[in-house]
Amino acid sequence: MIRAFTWCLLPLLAFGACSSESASSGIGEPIRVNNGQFFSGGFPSAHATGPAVSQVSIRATEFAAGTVAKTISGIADSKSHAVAVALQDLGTGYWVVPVGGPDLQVPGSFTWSANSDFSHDLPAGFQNLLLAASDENGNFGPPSTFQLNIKSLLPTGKVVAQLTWGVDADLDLHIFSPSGKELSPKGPNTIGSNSLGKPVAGSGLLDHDSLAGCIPDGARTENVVWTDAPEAGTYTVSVHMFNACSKPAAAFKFSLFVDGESVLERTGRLLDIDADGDGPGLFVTEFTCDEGTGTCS
Amino acid sequence: MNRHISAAFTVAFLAALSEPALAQPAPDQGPPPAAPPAPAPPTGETTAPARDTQLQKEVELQRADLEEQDSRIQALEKQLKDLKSVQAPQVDTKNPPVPAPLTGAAPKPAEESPFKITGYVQAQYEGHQESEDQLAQGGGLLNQNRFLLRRTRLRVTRDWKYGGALIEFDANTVRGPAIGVQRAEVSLAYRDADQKPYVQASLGLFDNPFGRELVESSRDRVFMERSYASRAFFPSEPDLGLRISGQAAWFRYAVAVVNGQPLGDRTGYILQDPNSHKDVLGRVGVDVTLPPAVRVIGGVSMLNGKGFKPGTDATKNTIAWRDNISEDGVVQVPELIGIPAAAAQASRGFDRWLVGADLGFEWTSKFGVTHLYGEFSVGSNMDRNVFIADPTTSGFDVRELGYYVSAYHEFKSGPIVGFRFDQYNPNSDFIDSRRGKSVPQTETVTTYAPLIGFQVPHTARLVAEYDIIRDSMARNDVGVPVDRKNNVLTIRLQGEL
Repeated sequence: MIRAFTWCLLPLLAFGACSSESASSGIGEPIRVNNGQFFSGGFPSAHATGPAVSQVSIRATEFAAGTVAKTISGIADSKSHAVAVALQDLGTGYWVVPVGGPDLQVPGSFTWSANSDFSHDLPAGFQNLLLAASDENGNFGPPSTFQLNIKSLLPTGKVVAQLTWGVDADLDLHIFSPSGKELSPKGPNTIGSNSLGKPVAGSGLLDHDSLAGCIPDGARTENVVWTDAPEAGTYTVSVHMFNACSKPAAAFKFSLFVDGESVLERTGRLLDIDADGDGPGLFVTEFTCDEGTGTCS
Repeated sequence: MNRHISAAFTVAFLAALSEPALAQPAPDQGPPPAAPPAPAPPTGETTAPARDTQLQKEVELQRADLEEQDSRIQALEKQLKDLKSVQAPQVDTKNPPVPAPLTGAAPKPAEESPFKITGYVQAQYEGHQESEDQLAQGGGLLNQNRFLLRRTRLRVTRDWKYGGALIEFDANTVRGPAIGVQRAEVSLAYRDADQKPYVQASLGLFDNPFGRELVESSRDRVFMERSYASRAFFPSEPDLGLRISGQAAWFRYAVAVVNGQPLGDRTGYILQDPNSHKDVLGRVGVDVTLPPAVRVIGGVSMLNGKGFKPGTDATKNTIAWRDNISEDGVVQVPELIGIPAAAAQASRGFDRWLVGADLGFEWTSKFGVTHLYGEFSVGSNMDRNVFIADPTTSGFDVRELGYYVSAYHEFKSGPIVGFRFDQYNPNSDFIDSRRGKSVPQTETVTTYAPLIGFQVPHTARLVAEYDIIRDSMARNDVGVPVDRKNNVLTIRLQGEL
């Protein structure tokens, strides 16, 4: 009886292992198409009789890594049933979205649209978006290439001091400037503003207060940006846990970039008992900026 | 020890004496009585006076024998009385026995507890094809390859002559550690001599009386979970309400009025009731054993109720930024829009119903017990767990269909083999859009569930089940809905308290 059951079971197991599609969410991919199906493997090779993607539309081709819900749309020719989307040489697979309705302006063609998110880890610089349409037999036509300019998450500036951390706790970057002023979310400038309200030369500005009020923003990053040469002298850096947001601990990393290159890195950790709502926080490091050259170390 | 042996012999001897015939005493029960003389062969030469004399002697011998037996019986009766007085409980004059409470409680032996405590533990390992080491939006775990405490049940019951009470707790780690009340009911009952209720009225948290799977104990079910359709219609077995049930010979019936928001309901308001309408459901059926060894269980079930679509709160004016013009991550004035305050939207109700039929056979043979079951359900707006039915938004009623056929065999020596096939169509009117055209599309989910295991009855059971799930939740490279890789392997060990 058991032997008979085993022989009956084997075809079933084989049956269960075949002809199903991936269930991967694709969340680890450099591009994630919210209305598409993810397929592992290389981008489909071109078939001689495959249809073509005749038009691609993206509102802004230059955007930052981590951008969400970006619409990539276009038109595919009359034989098209679906369109494959991927970033060239990045990721482990590609996405497929079914075409929509007929395009009223170009008779015989079909519209398509891919609602896409881009990973925070997407390398900065120019990246090629690959697009190919498939016919009813799954034969893909020649891929179309569309160039995107991915901006780094690191702000543009002469010097950037960056604090990143790993959990949804409210950490704040505090920097004491050579002139004795403390930069913090309450005072986001290392020197101050002139009579017109503009930052004076050599000022560093805090870009935003991440996780203020424990509201997740997906960043967990704060940057102080000097667009030109910083005020010369020694800066003292501390990290303050304003609110632990129910997290037991938060590991952080402080980085100093000069002209886009990392020149200093320090790591640390704060516990929930360190959250006191105010105060200078934990001393992390010091760095010195030279007068004239604007370099820091 | 010797006293017990002699008492046993005494009782046996008295029993022997009570035989209607005058049994001969055993040789070792005392001096043998005088054997009656063998009757003289009838001869024609024997005279009448001589016969009278001989008969008189025989009567005297028998009388002496009876007197001797009487004396021995009296002696034995005395011994028995002495033994009984020795074994009788000593009466505690300081703490006299408490009289039985006036609750109608059935008299029970002193050593038997009025409470009955039972329980079991189901621990398992699950392997899911779609498992992924990531978090879903909102923080849900996508990894499902894990060890799991599926059920830990502890039940305490107490039965009176005219009723009973039951409390059952469940602990599990399905969505993290959780402990809760699984069942809690109090009943009034009129029972037969075998304590089977002719009529039983239960109030509290009890299993919905619909079909076979729903009322089958998770302890007894060899398959890991109920069929897909049953889980869609009833996220969990229990609901709050009033149930009237009972049985007479082969006839079974149960009718219940419940809130209609069972445990695990994913539409919200679990075990609460957002509308005053109650769901009415019930089952009538038979449970009969046919000679030589076939048990037939079947019935029909129905449910009629009202679902609830919650409205929305009133809102305040807000400003939102939509990066839909430049899509560059920079706020542009045209991208700022005002979202005006909105009035509250009223909640709405909708009708829902479900009918079903079930039939099962259990055949006992020299190889063990073979079970063959099937169940069929058709309903409207009943999905409360998987493809949530919402006719208030779609504008039309959602038609659902589900059925299963299962068979398994329990070998006498312990092994179990089985197979279940089930299908569930959550929306018979589902339409897919392809190349601008609306195409009828099935959302049917089919599950093939072979299992193999081993059990020690009423002690432990080890079962492995592989669920081959066929659905239409993925799309192929042409954009057509196809099966999604989401088969499940489960290995479960169940132990009983």
